[in-house]
Amino acid sequence: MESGSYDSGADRETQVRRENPRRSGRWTLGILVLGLVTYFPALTSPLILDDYLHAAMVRGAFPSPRSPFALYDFVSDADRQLLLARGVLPWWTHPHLTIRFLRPLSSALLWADYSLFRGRPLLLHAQSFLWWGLAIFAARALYRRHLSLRVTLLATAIFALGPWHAIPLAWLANSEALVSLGLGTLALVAYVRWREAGSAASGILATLLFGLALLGGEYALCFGGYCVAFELGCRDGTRRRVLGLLPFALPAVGYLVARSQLGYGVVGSGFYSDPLRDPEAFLALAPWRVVALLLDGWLALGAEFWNPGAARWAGALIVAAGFAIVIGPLRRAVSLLDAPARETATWLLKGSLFAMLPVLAVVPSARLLGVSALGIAGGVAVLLDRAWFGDAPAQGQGRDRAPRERSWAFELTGLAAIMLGFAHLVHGPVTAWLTGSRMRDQALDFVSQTAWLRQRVTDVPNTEVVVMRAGEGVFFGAFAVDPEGPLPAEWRTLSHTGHALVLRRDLRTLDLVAPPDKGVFPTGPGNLFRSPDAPLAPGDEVSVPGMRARILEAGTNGPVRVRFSFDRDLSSPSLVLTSEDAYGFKQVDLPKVGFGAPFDP
Amino acid sequence: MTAVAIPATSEKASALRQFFSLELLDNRYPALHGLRVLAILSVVQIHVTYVLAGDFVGKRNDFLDPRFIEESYWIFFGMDLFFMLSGFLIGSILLRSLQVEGTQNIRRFYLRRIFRTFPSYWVVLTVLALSISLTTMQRANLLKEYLYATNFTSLVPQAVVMIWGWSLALEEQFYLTVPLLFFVLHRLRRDAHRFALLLGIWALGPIIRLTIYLRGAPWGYEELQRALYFRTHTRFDTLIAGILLVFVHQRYGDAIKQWFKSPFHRAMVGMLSFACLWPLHNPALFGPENVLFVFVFAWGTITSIMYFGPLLMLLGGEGWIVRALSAPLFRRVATLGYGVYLVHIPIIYYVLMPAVRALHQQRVSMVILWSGSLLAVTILSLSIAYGLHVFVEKPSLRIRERLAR
Repeated sequence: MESGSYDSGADRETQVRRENPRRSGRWTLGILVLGLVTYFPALTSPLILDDYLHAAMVRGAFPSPRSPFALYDFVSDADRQLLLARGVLPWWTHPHLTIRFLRPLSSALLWADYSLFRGRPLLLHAQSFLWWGLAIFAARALYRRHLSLRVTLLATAIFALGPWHAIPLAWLANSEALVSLGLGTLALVAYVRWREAGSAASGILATLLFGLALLGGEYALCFGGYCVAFELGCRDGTRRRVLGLLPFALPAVGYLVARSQLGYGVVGSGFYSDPLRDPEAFLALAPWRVVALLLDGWLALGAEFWNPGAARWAGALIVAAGFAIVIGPLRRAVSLLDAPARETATWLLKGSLFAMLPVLAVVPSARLLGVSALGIAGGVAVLLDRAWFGDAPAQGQGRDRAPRERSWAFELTGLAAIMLGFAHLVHGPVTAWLTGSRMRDQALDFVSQTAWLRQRVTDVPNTEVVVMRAGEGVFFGAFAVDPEGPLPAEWRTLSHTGHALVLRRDLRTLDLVAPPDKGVFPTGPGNLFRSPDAPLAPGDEVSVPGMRARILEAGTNGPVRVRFSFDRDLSSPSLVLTSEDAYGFKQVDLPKVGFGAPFDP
Repeated sequence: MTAVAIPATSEKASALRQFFSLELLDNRYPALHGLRVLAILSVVQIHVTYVLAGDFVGKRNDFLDPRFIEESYWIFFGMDLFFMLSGFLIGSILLRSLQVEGTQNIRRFYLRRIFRTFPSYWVVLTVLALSISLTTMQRANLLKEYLYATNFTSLVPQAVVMIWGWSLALEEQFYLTVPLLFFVLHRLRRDAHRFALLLGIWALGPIIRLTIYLRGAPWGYEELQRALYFRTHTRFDTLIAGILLVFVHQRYGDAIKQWFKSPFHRAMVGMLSFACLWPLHNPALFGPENVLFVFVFAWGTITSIMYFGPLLMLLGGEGWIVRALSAPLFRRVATLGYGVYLVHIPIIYYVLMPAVRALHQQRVSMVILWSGSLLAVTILSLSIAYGLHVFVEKPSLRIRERLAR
């Protein structure tokens, strides 16, 4: 295929390459070193959250065996009942809960890591850091094609040190995002080369790399946003532009067909809303999620800043004010670039917006912004460069002829640059560092909070654990009892709530009462195990081996009173009764029959 | 007759106009008037939100979003801006006096301060003391309040009449020491020594706060606030930062103005200020366990740094931000600022709250009530402050002119 009819970047590319490569290399090395410092807490984090599941899968302790390519295959029709029976899933799990992600490459890499470096998470993190490094080098190459050296370095720094990489670097299970990001960014570089220089080898390479990125995870679908944005801005005919999409479209279609045919996807979870299986829920949440991601990506306001429960009028004011300050100067800065740079900046910016679409299925978080950040960083860098190092317009010249107007636009650009400069050069890296630190603290806290379990439960495979009230331990407590060995025979979490009151009805039966504003388990996006479309109502009954739960009363946030009937006396020595509070798991002494006892968070 | 009557009427009208006109603040730094107005608005906003939240939260569950309330408490830090501007203005007066006359003329300095600030404060304090039934503690502390020692009482509404007088007391106590400081500064021969001395005194603020914090731990928020936020010996650093600002501006104003011509330099300073605002706005940034530790530095150190750069930029700056802040309206409002500060809290308690409660019972939205309250308190405070200005401040300024020539 011949080169796309953007203004040829070849001359410009040569010129950029001539710009003191040694100095440029030093700066890039500096960015990598800064990255090491910024993400140091993340890289020294022990296992956390899903990492426990993966470790259990690799050592064969997970109730249902997993192949090296299926570590992200969490719950399916085939093993849901088994996982419920063992207590890996709580009793309130959606009857059709499915959480399966097609990420064979990332899965295999994790499998290899856990097999080779078991018990040494630092070495596992090292691989994540290498993927991050690959993404940074690829991003730099992408920017360098048409943007000036200063813009390239600024954009690379913003992209490299932003908070979007902190969670994937700290959380090994999320390293799949870095695999897709590294390979996808490299693919994008090859794609742009193919479209601009017409090199068939680059086209084939782009197809292969996009394919590999997709095997890393569905996150790579975000790169489609940049390909679409590139083709939308290209001056070729429609046919050529459609053909131009092939290096991305071919592997993407293949991936989606395989995903669908093999039954991958998410059903029945409040945390994910699968756009293909539940388009209504997806569309209802999508607008708020876009705003949240835009606010976080551009203004560093934190994705949780804008959620359906927040004061929307206050948020709307901030959004309007923030974007009013940024959009004008950004358009102006882009319009003042030379043609190839302007076109690059334009498709990067549009692509960053389109790239958000695939991640709208998940509760917004900075960790979802890695691909979008490629374009955001480019746009911010262009604006900062214009505002800080561009020529001040002379009186009577330029686009704004009236001195007052010119001054107004000039100062607004300065103001926007201060805001964005702070957001991306100060707030971003500090937030990344803090996020890594918090993840590490959280992981260490989890280890110390589950210490009692490890002491109390000595015969793990033959012990049944009943948790009256759980916090985050609801997800991974069972895996922490023996991190190197088997799971307990059964793990029963009765509630995941704030304060809980337990009333002992008889030797085998108890009622659990939760605050009316919370419910016995969370609802909405906070409930990984049950989507809001399948609420449990009074009279509903759920049976799992050894236990029956009947809903006695429900409030606006789900069941608030549930009766649990066990198949044996609750004082049986085979049962370990516990409850989780802010300090961890503790011994529980149940009240006498006819009495109650509170369990506080 | 007609020929005589017209000038007489005109003179009368002119005298009336003069009587009711504002005695505007000095206009050497016009952009600071705009900043002062923003500081006033931020303080009024915080108090309106605080009082409304205190009345509604807990009793009824339909007030503004709790996050909004929380964030509004920490926004802008108007009081610290007041301190900084105060330090700057007092410093500039004394420095000019030294430069022009070679002496501080302490008598004139204190007469000017007394006749500028005491009368309105005493009038408002007296009116309040007479119009409410005083508790035993309030009666016992009243003399302290008249003598500007409010910040060394137990600062609870049951103990003092004008709890918000703490900041005025703090400033007045600081003014007692300023001439001595200037005497020492004047005796020093090199600017480097002067800056070192001022920086050293400024750094003492956080050191004292940190020492108190470490010696008294563990703290609750209110305990810590009482120990650190209101006392002169723990809050002087912001005022000192204002004086440091005078020296920097006087000595290096032109060079700094030149330096600020670069947008990159302006951005660096702006970003530093944003970086300071971040922990002020979100004290739990370094974890909820470190919030109180953040306050040790937030109350003075971080605010000083946050304001220092932008103030320097505004003092020597150009452009629409400076022009906007220098608008004549701001000078007028700033002239009434002291009065607004004195009267806005009684207005909130005695005028606003009964009206808000009545309207709330008629199901008026709290968003409307909150924004309407802010507007109403601002307008009412400005109106009463205007009365104070005309009938109390201006006459006392006349006397001051005679005494402090």
